[in-house]
Amino acid sequence: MKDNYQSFLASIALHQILPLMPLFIEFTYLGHVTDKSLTMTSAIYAFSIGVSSRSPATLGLCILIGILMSASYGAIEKYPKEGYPQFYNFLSFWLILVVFLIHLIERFRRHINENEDFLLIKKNK
Amino acid sequence: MENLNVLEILAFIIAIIGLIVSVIFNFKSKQVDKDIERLIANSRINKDLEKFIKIRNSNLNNKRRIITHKEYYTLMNKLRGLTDKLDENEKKIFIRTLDSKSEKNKINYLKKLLYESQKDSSFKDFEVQK
Repeated sequence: MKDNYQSFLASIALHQILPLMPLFIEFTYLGHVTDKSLTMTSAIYAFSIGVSSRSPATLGLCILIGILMSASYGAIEKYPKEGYPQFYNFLSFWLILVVFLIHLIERFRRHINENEDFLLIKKNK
Repeated sequence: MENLNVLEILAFIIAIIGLIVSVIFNFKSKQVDKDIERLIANSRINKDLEKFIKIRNSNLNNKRRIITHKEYYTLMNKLRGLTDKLDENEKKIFIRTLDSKSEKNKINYLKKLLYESQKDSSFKDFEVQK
């Protein structure tokens, strides 16, 4: 496999999927994901993706998203809901997906189009 | 959809705006000129280019010039700086060639390009040392 594709896959696995592992594990063991987990994860995920991005626009927007979702977490804490709806019923799930796509597009450009090495695995040329 | 609140909706709208911005700025057609400008602007490449030109102008008549792999890769980077002599199509072909062709074809292509751009017969005898 070409190095740029390897860098792309590595960045997806380590920068984008790894932070979502707690949600996968929660879903595996409990059979559902709580709104608190999704909201908290979406806030932290937005912050981490914003910092990981090289685009100032993405950084700014992700910080805004992170702050809004952090505030939303406070509202959920104060007014918890009954029951365990499916994860796709939560807007925060779709929010995580959109943020994922935002960074996926950037990583595609950086690693596939521009042949940028993945930071942790820089080769000596 | 359950559990909607204003903050989440606002955050989702901002995320959609971010997605649109990301698509617009990352999926523009590849700007070959900007890539080349960026490479030329790299001061390390410019310094190496001066050294390279000195080596090239040294007395290499009728001798086979052997270059190491490191020099070869440095040479590739330097050639990117010389591509302002090429037209748009040639630039695109050149960039794709450096990224995709086999070692042998790459060397042959580089030799041809150097010879044509510099009109210097000493480039005819470059050979990469393994």
